[in-house]
Amino acid sequence: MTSLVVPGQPLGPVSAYIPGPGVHTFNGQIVASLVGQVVTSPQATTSTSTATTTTPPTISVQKPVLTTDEETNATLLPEVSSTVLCRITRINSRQATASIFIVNNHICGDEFQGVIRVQDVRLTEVDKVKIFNSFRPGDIVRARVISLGDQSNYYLSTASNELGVIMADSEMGDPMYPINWREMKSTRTGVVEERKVAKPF
Amino acid sequence: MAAKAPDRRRNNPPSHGTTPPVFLSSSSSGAVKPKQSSRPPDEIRKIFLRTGLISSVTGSSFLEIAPLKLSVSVLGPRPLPRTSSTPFAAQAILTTEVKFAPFASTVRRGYIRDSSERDLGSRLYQALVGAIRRELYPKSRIEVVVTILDSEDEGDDVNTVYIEEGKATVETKFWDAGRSERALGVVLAGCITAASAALADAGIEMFDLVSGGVATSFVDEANSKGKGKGHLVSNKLYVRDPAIAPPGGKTPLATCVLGYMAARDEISELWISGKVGTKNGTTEMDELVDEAIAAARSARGVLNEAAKERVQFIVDKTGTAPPSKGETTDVEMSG
Repeated sequence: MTSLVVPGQPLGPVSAYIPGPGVHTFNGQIVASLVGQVVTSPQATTSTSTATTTTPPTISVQKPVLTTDEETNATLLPEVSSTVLCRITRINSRQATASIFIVNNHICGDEFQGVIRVQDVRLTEVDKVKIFNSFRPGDIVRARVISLGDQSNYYLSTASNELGVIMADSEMGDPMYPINWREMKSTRTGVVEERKVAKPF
Repeated sequence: MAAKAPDRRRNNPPSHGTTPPVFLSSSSSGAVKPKQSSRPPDEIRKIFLRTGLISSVTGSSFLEIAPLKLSVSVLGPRPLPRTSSTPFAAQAILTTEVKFAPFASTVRRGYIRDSSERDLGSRLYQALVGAIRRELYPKSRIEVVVTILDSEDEGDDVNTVYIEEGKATVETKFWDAGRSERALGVVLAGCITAASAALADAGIEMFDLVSGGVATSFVDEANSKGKGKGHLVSNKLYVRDPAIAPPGGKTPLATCVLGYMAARDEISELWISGKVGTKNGTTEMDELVDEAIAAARSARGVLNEAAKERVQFIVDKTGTAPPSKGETTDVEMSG
């Protein structure tokens, strides 16, 4: 039986729980900051060779969502180290500008603007990277947020094997499939184009 | 011959003729006199509050308190506009906007925001900004838009004239002293309560819900006429959530509106207008504020239930938890 709590409602002393998402602490109390159900994770006991330490259970408040709009989360914001999917909107020799539409496998309510700078495209041989040989406008890219950036852009990085272009169309507009880590081939004409390709799972 | 194309630039009259409306003469009916409510002065009017009525925004609410009707939309957190004028914001930027519909007050209003609407907007901002956990939403803005559909307020023309004249000693025209403050106070308190419900509906994390409360102090008309200090202070009547018509034989002294976080016992916004003095060591202001807090506490009960209502509906529908109560229950107010 889970009951609903409202913001401001005390849930228990700080000593008894570890605060999780949806709660904050005030006057030694853990207080709900969302309307929703209280979720307590079972307390974890980690025994090492010397001593057994018991971590108190984590308490959090979750706002239940209807199944229909479970995927979208209007209050979702990109954070540092979150994995995002974005669409390249424009490129120049220094950076590629992208529009973020999925953050940590959740569709965000509004699209956020991000940039992939030339030094963040790949991990090795950074000085040989050319943006034009890595991304093209319209590509769908899996990237990681490395900084909240300036007032308008989140800074993204694809410097990892599993990050990079996951969907792209060729210059003729045909879908392409990856053939190696830096090339994709058109399904129709067989033309090979250069991309910073994400490693398929 | 082809029919003439309809004029799309103007509001066209109906193609057939119209007859002017004929109203019953008001002298025969007793509708002119505002009905005196029978509720005790320490009881606020019943509040109707629902959340989640507008699907296109993140959170929304609708509130009704007797004649007052307003709806609140919460948008965001959404990315900051692309203009370079906005610097990097580590905390969410809150914007509040209060707009009376043109038909909302007894005197028709314009479509452009006037001074009282901007004033209410900034007071609503003050009431809410401290309650939102803005540090969780960097580089984003949260917009609270209040549309007042009906109110007892008389429009900005009337209010401006009164405020310019300043003091309650000025012979007022067809409205009585402090009338616009009471009307705007009830509107602001409603805005604060409804905006909290909409923010909770949006799933924006808050330290506490803010509820609005309003109280007015009245004295006997006979006392207010005399300028002597001695008998002015006696037998004050404090009315929580005052209606625009004052109690019979009473003159309003001061009105207090506040935003109150009940769980933390904090006042986030305080607005007092009128005459307050001191007596017996306790300031009248404290008494007035306590009355307004009591009104806000009563509103908080409704706010809590309204905030839970939609979440409970979702819980019941998705079956993520055993349904606790069958139907939603109305909260009866008690002072």
